[in-house]
Amino acid sequence: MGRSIRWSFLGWHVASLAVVLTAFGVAMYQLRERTLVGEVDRELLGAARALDAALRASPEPPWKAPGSRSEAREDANDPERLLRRYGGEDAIYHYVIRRKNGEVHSLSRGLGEPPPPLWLFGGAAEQVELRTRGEFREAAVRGPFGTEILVGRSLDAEGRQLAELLGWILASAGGLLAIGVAGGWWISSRVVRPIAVMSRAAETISARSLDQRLDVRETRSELGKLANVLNHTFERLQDSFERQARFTADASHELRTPLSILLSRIELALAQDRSDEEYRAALRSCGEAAHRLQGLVEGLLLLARADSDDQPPQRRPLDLAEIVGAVTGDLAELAEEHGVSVRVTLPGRDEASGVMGDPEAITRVLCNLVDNAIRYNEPGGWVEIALRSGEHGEEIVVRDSGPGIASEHRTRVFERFYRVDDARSRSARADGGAGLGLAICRGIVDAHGGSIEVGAREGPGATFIVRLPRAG
Amino acid sequence: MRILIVEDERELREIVQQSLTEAGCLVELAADGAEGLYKALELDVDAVVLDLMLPEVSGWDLLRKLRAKKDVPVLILSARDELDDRLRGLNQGADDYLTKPFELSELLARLRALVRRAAGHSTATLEIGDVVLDTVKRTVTRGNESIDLTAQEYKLVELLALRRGGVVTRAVIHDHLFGEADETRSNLVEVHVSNIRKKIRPDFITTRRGHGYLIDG
Repeated sequence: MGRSIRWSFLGWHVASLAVVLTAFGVAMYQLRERTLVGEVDRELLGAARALDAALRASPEPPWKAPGSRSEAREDANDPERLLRRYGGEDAIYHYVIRRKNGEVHSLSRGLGEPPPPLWLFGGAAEQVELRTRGEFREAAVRGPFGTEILVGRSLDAEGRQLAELLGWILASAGGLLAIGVAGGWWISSRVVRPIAVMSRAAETISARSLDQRLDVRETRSELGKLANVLNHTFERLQDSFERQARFTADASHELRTPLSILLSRIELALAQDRSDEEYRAALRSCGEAAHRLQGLVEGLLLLARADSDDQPPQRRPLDLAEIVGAVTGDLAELAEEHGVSVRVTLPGRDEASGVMGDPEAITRVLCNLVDNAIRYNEPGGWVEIALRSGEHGEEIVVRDSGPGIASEHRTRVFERFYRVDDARSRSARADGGAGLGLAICRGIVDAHGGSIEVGAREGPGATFIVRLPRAG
Repeated sequence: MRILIVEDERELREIVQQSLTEAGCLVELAADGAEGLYKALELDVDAVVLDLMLPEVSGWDLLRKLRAKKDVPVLILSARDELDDRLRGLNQGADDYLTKPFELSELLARLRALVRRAAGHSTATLEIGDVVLDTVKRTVTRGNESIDLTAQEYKLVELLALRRGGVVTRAVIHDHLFGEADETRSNLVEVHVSNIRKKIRPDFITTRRGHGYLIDG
């Protein structure tokens, strides 16, 4: 946990540090090497030019073979002495002077086999050549009468300097790398520790303890923000868990009540011998309870299917006016029973509404709304159903003259099992009083991409507005 | 036994009422919390059957307000079966908790047990000298001989036996035999007492003039 982040962070950190240090070391080494060789070159060229000048000043032209006499005498212009004077006692130069035809005119003692000539009968007068030959650096210039003057010396001293530099570079790079690794470890620990703390805290937050939250001390850093985001997620999770738990508790309560009636009625009927009339009454009572259960189970199944099903509803052109007609026809008897008059306002136009959907489902929505409007009403009251074209689609408006819905309940009436009155006046309920009707309505309307809401109070009664989007 | 049922489901209320009545109890009814609280406080009942989700005053509030004033046994009869609810109910002063759906016979047995325990007995039989009352079978025996009592006579004997040693006023006996609704205030209580004395023995029930009746402990 957190390990891989830490190791990859550390890996990248060390790798980049190593690349930087290597590049720096290589550059430093090469720069130093070039500077050193440049110095040697200048020195060798200087020496070669000094020889050149000495040759030009020499009374013996270089093309003559050096006689034994000249070897013996102490010549101020003897190249060996000249070079020793030039470079000091430490510098050990070697030289080769060749004639224009490539013959060796003279060379250092102890040089062994002289290097082959550079130029034979050609090249410009001012030609200069610098080269590395084995462990030696050599410079060659053109002397008088086409002679070739080559001066070289060993690079031993420079090699030692460079080796020392390399050692120094490696040591300091190693030291820096070690410090970098330690620092990276420390930083990655600091980064990873709060993550580990958070993940441990998050692990303890399970379905049973969703009310716990992560400790958010500061909110500016990325981790603080992450903790906040997680806390918000937990909040939503807790909310939905609680809603689910409440729904389950409500559903079980609602299922148990008719079930109790059914079972107790049967137990009571069988407790002793009874008259036919009593048995009939018991069976009627059982039937009613069973119907109530049936309505409830159907409603729950409908909602469960709506929850699990992502399929869009059928899309057929809807004739809303026809649906309104069908619903008012079906509920006419109920309206009469309750002494409520139903008025319908349809827009006077010919074209189709342009709404697509499942006619059966929309009929159920309207049926639930009108049923409620009739039942939650008073004798002599009215229910008004209107169709109109709104900004966001076609609207079905159901208004009644009942007691209305208080503003604090306006958004909550669509919750499952939510009851405006805790009184549970069951007789006045469309679905056996369980409080699922409006939840089902909302499920259907949502699936159609529309919206359902309780309108703001204007005068008495409640107003429900269903909006369905026009196709296309 | 005189039982108050506080239940907002009309059907269930009627079923429990009929069942308890057939078992020889006198049943009082309340359809909401407010009525239930009033009756529980005002009536001399042996036990209260209480639903939790009630209109007006919830079962929880009823229980709390009732417990502040009265010690009558309360059995919660609720569809809420979560452990939390059961614990809360019992901790707030309920004596028993039964979840719906339930067996009527179990409800009756639990009510009998509650009433018995409240009266200080732990078995279903009450012994007064050589007279034995079986509160489950609702029979009275003397020695090995079974005594044939009418339902009302049995109720009267059971009431006095449960409150053994204490005087029970004629008004209370009347309420337990005929219910609150009956206002006749006839001399039926005296008639029953006289019949019981004849069937069991003359000194089984003692009369306290101006107070009421008792069975000596």
